[in-house]
Amino acid sequence: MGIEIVFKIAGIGILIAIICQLLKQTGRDDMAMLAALAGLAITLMMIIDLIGTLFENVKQVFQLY
Amino acid sequence: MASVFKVVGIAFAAVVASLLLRTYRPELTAQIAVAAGALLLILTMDELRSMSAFLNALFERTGIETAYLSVLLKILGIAYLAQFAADLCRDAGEGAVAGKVEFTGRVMILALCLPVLASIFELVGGILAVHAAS
Repeated sequence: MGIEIVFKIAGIGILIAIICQLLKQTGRDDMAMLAALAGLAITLMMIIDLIGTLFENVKQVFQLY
Repeated sequence: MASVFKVVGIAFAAVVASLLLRTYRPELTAQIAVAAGALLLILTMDELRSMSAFLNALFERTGIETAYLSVLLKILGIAYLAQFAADLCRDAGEGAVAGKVEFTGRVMILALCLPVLASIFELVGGILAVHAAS
């Protein structure tokens, strides 16, 4: 759990951008759209973990229930 | 002290990554902002934990009811989370949602404060009753 998650998201973004470009050039716009959606879903999954950790921490420290 | 450098490093890396992605995939910049924000808040949490323990000890030594400290901490937590969410919404260009989140946080804080206010009124009423009797 550290800065690597930011780099991971950036890497996924660049990869998805390249894939989209390739798919659009070959005329498969629907697949490009799906690739973009998949990238969004993957990054969301990664972030959910982080947000869960943040919520647990806040609950503990501030005695919120 | 070393965590200051960590915070600066995380913020800088996140901003650079976000700028890099903005032209190609603008929807992923919001994810980077969420990840960086959550990371920074989690980093702050260690300091806050020790601070809260210190305050607890202080309250116990001075004999003030620790229930009040609990209310104070809960208010801080609500403000912390509401600010986080509102800033993210504002960054994504949704000022209206951000305003609603802030408003909800304020209402929740007010709801937490009301019992304390009631105890203040009770205290004032008790003092007035004593004066009226003598």
